[in-house]
Amino acid sequence: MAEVPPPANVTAAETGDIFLVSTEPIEPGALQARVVDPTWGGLASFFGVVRSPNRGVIVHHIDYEGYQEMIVTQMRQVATALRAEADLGRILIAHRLGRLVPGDVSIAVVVASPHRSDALTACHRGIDLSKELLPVWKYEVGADGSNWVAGSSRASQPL
Amino acid sequence: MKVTALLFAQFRVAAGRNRIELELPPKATVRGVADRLETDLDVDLSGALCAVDERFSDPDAPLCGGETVAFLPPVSGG
Repeated sequence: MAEVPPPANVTAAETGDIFLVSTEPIEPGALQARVVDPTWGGLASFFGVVRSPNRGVIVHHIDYEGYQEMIVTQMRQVATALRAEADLGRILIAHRLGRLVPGDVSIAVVVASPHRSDALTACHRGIDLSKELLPVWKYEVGADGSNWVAGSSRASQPL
Repeated sequence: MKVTALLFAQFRVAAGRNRIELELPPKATVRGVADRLETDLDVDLSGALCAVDERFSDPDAPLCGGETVAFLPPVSGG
């Protein structure tokens, strides 16, 4: 496994947005509590969970590797893109690294907004953008052996 | 000029290291860093996404020295 850096726990001063990268478990209720506020009448959440079976094969675990500093930079980019499209309250994006087993939460996107449609749309867009932009890689170990999971190159022009 | 190069996931494994400090000629590009790594470390970086100081970058972007240049396999987070 790759070295896992110390956790990042960043709150953007200007927006209150929260960006988390850690090997510790992601607790959905605890994260939602950091975003909820009566000012914003809607809260939309997405939690990604390690899947098994994946493509019909039992998964034992996944080792998540990440470029920690850039993950936080790109989380900020995602939040900026979401804010450009809708009237939003607080945004929280979290990604877990290290060894996860099926059922563990790997990623969270939580968005608050005064309006439900903005919250739901931004949450959906937020997870899609996160999967394109966050520098994270999965090494999956399962019943059929192990492999790096195929990824996305949408973020920029590859070599 | 000096740059710091970072490799992740498959590239890190293939190269046997994740970080290398390089001395490059003036006006080197991101692609020039990749070429140097491929020669020095016997690693194939084709298909890599490039990042300069934590932002995605065009492979032909020029460097001025002091940057951190990362080569990333296609990303698969979430």
